[in-house]
Amino acid sequence: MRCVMSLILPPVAAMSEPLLRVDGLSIHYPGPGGPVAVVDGVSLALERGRILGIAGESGSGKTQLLLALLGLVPGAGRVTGSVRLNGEQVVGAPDSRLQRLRGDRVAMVFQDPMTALNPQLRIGLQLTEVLAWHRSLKGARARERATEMLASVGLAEPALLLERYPHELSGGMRQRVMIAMALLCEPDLLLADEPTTALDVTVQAQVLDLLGELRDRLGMAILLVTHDLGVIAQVADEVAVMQGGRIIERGDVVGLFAAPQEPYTQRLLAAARRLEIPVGVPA
Amino acid sequence: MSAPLLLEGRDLSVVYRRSGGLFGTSSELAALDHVSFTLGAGETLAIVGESGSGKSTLARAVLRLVALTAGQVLLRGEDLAILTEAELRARRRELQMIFQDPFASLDPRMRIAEILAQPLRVFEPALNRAQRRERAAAQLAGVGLDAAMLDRYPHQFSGGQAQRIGIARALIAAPSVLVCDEPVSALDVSIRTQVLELLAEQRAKRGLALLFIAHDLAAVRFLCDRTLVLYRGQIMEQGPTAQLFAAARHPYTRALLDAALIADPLRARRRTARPEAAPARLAEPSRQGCPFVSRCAQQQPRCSVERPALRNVGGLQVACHRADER
Repeated sequence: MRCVMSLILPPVAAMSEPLLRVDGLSIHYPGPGGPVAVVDGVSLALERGRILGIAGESGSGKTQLLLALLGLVPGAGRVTGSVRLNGEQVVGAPDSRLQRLRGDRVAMVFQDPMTALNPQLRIGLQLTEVLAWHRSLKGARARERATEMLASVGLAEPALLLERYPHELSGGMRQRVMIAMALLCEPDLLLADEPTTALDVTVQAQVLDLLGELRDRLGMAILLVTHDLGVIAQVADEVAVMQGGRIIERGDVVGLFAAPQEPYTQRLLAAARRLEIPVGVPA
Repeated sequence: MSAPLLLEGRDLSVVYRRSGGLFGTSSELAALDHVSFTLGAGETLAIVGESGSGKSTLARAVLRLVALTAGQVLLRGEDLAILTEAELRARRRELQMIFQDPFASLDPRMRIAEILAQPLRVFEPALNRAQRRERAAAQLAGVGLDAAMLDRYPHQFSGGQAQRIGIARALIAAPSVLVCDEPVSALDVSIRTQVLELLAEQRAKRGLALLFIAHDLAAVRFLCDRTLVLYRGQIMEQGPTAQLFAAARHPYTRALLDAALIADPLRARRRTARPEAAPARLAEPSRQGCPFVSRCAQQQPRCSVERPALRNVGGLQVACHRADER
């Protein structure tokens, strides 16, 4: 296992605490022959305004890692190690504290927006509920803020959208609504689990552009988990490759794509490139 | 393209009636709007478009899983619509399908041996149980899985393996046409190539024709001889895949190509803006004119009033008023 720690972690003691710092994080689930590690000793750090892409195939543990950052690992999972967000410990924090963090300082967008949106509630209510809970913002002011946020993620006719139900929207619009909802409280950290995998290619390109733009505009940090190295190449600053619950290689995105060291990373990259379309972009 | 004509769609239309608008009015939505295609033996035709383009409706219409409002589907020159149920069932052997979600299309309560035996029960009723099992084992080996897996259940497989089982189930009936509805888009990128290679290999071995439905242009380029691009149920552009990818003339095809990801950070970021990306709005475009007009950066006044006909331009068929300007 090779880890180019210096590329992601700032030089020791040269900088203050990063926005997110994960040390020796492991998640074990009970198995027939004793506990099974789905995340195994992961350490990483993420600064404000940076996008870290975590690349891994199905079963690599990448989604479990994201859930642990929010204190959302299901009951049977045992989390050990440390997750510090703005210096505050997340592992073992009480639920009441975690509920205040979620949606406020850290927000998450999922692969399938339909599972994250309530099908029985109008978009407007789902957005203003977040503001009422975290910001005590209600009534016309909450609706105004929700409308602004929908417009800022590139949705036309935002005021009209507030009255709609999720099923009335296209997949790309739902994904934008979910991103808007995640951004309502201007979180420091956005966690995105395969945010574009279920979308058409044209919409995927727009959503990735949007993530990059939000990072630039709001200085947000984004942790993006995906099986698609094309997604990481498009938006990430840094990349960590996960296999079997461990980070096996990491580095600056340009350097790692130019010279992957691990055979597994080389295989993933070769698979992605075999399917690539030669478009009119100079090499 | 000189292969004998196997499957043909003539002027296919599927219109859904939607009721219960704001004032209880009903409106019509043409999911498929006068689409024609041909498929020769051993050939692969890609049907490409975004969600809502009508590509899955086309696949379903070919298999008679949705009713055509107008048009004909011909298999070896025979109109499928005038066949009786029994005759249609016999023809279905020739037309098999694989689905996007391998797990959703495999019954979780059935062992793989039973899943693969089902088509044989229908199409080869003379076989006994042992013969069916033998055929299932051989077919499983044919898609690169171990015959020892016959007694397992679908949940014991990975996504890529489950899709191989879906392919085995379709091939065991020895079809001449395989309709593939987004067969790799639910799989990890690293697994996609393997499944596409399996399809290419089976095509070569059996002279199988593929109707390949996809939104993923990379998979299309890998596998397909010809490509047909649909938008809102209408053909925007079609032609040989290599030529279409190298010199697409329709702004919509170019938008699809521009949106494809590149697994190289330096090149990916050097790309220009994407003017023809979808506006995220609720409004429907007008029924007049070009269906793509609301998204098109090259639109002219006539594009909003006059629907462009499909015409030959430089070896491609293009439905764009400005197709010969580039």
